[in-house]
Amino acid sequence: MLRSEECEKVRIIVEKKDLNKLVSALHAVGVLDIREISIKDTQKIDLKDYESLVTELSIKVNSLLDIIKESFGSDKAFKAYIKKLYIKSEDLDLNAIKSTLDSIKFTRILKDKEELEANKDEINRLKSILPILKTLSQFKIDVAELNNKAVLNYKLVVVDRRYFYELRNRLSNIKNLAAYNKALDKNHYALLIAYKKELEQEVDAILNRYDKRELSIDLLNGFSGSPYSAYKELLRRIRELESKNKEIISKIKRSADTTVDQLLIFKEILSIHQDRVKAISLIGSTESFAIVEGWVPVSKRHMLVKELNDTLYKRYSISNIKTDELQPTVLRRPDILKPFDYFLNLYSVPRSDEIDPGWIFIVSFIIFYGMMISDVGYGLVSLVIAYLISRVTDKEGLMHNAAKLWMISSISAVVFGLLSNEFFGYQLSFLPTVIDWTKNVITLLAITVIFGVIQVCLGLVFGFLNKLNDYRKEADKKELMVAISKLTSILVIVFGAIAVSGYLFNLIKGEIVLISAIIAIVSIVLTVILGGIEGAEVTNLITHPISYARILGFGLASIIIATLIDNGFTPVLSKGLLSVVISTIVLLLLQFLNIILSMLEGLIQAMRLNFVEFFTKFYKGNGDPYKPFKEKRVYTYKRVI
Amino acid sequence: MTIDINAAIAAIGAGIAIAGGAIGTGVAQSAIGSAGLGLYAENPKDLGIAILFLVLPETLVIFGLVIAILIMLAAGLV
Repeated sequence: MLRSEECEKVRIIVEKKDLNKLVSALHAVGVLDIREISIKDTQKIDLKDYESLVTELSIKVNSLLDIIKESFGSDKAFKAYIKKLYIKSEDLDLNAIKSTLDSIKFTRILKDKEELEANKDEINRLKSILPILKTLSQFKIDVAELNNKAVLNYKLVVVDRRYFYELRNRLSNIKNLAAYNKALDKNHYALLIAYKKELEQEVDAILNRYDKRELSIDLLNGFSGSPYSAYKELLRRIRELESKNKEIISKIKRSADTTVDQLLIFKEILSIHQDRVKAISLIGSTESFAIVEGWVPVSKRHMLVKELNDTLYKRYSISNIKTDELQPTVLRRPDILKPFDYFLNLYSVPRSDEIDPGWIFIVSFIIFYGMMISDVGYGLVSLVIAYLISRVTDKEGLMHNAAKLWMISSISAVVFGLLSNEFFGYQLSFLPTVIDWTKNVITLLAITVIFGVIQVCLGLVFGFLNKLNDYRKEADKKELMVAISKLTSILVIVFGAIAVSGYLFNLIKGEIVLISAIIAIVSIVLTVILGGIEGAEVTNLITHPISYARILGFGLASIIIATLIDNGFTPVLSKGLLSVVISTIVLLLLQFLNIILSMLEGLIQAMRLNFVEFFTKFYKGNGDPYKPFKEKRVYTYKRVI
Repeated sequence: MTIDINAAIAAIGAGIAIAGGAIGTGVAQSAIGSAGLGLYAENPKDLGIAILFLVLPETLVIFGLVIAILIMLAAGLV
């Protein structure tokens, strides 16, 4: 239970002609974690045509889906649309998918998209001309004349008022040049300069000395008439293109009814083929045989053998490979507890050769969270909030998994709430109060620190076992010394706790306190000497168990705040209806705020106690997770041949 | 109403113990929080690590709480 499930590394050999059947069987049974072939003299299987076809079709399908999704305006709207569809299809081969994608209804979407993009580019181009025409409309000039560069060149610049007069004076000194100016606003001037072609360099040299914005007249090619009429014409063309785009978008959206279901089916089938491409790239081959290697959990080997027998009728060989490689980590937990694994993996995946702390993490998290909330009402409301969050969030995301953790742990919050007789900060007179948070502070402090002592000691025991395991493997005396230092660390905590509690609370006889203190001090010295670098963390042996007092701290804070809110805002009928309404609203809002804060704090602190105080005593992590080669089907089912 | 000066001083001491821890935690978390968000912006997968570092200094305020309780216990306030 506290270890990864045992795996075997197996080698499967088939005739090359049966390769497709083998891959299909392995994919369907989904228990083999395929790894790179370890035999040196084998060749890779040529995947060129297959891989390029899968990639080409995948790109096409994904781009079509993206185009349609875009026409819905938002991901949310598109997801809601998909949710309403009923999609089921049997497996299709790649050629069928290819010919369907080449059909007119899909090519039309791609053409529409091309037109849409071309229109968007044109709109952007026209929009970049708008400010030029707007500036030019200050001058009485025919736009067509500006593009007639037979004799004269034109430049249009916008200059800051500070430099305008100086620039104009400099320009006026040049012969065969005319500069017209108009004030655009308080601080800016537009300057239209007409000059003979040969003066180009001279004009540029002057203009470059000043901070100015040059508007490109070349963009006006094709326009004629007054700048204002050209400006109006431009606006009309932009609007025309925009309405055309709207039409195209609604046309694409309408096409969703006949295309999205097919595209989703194609996407799923192609993703299965992509998995296969990846798997086949790991397979080795000789002239006549294909060889697959991978890890399979011992408990599932029979499933693999059965599937191979059914598919290949014993035209294969399977054998175990003796290897020093670290096997992948296989964590077996019920689906309901998977969110805990999500957070465990977020920290780090446990290695297969170390103790899996998952179960202790789960149990302690639920207890710590429950204690920190300790309110029946808060527990129930947090259950509802967490359920709603889980409904609207992405299943693979952080918030969804956090919501699942809240849902499971809210039951513990209700149980501790019943023991504490707390209902939104109120205490019910007919119920007994087993845990009184405000009156039994010292007892609760002791209980929480004892939790800390137990969990930290457990962590040290695991650390001892892990280090002993390392010593057995590597026969390195350093590992043995560190392993023993884990045991002396336990002595530091246990005897230190006895000495401190005996001294502070007079619960234990003086001689026992003294002996405990001596053992603790000797153990500290031993831990530092034996532990080497790890021995430097000896101070954590004192601080980490005390850190569990946060359970008391946050539990007490949550309950006291709830009681204060109740005392301040419980509606009193005698104060009038308005007072009742306002008090009720404020009471509900503040209680809701306290619930949210308690949920967040409970989640973070219960996780932190495990990750920081417990895991650091033994956990290595960086494990290699078991990733079986498994088909993921939602919309499709395998074709029965 | 008579006030026991020893109890009053103990209560003030307990308050200072908590306040010191809370201020220390706040100062540390402000720096870690901004750095953590930077890390998250660079790589969203590191959110777990960022949160982990963010909550580390909270131990300071817990020590403050423990000291406060011990002071109040010695003064007979709890």
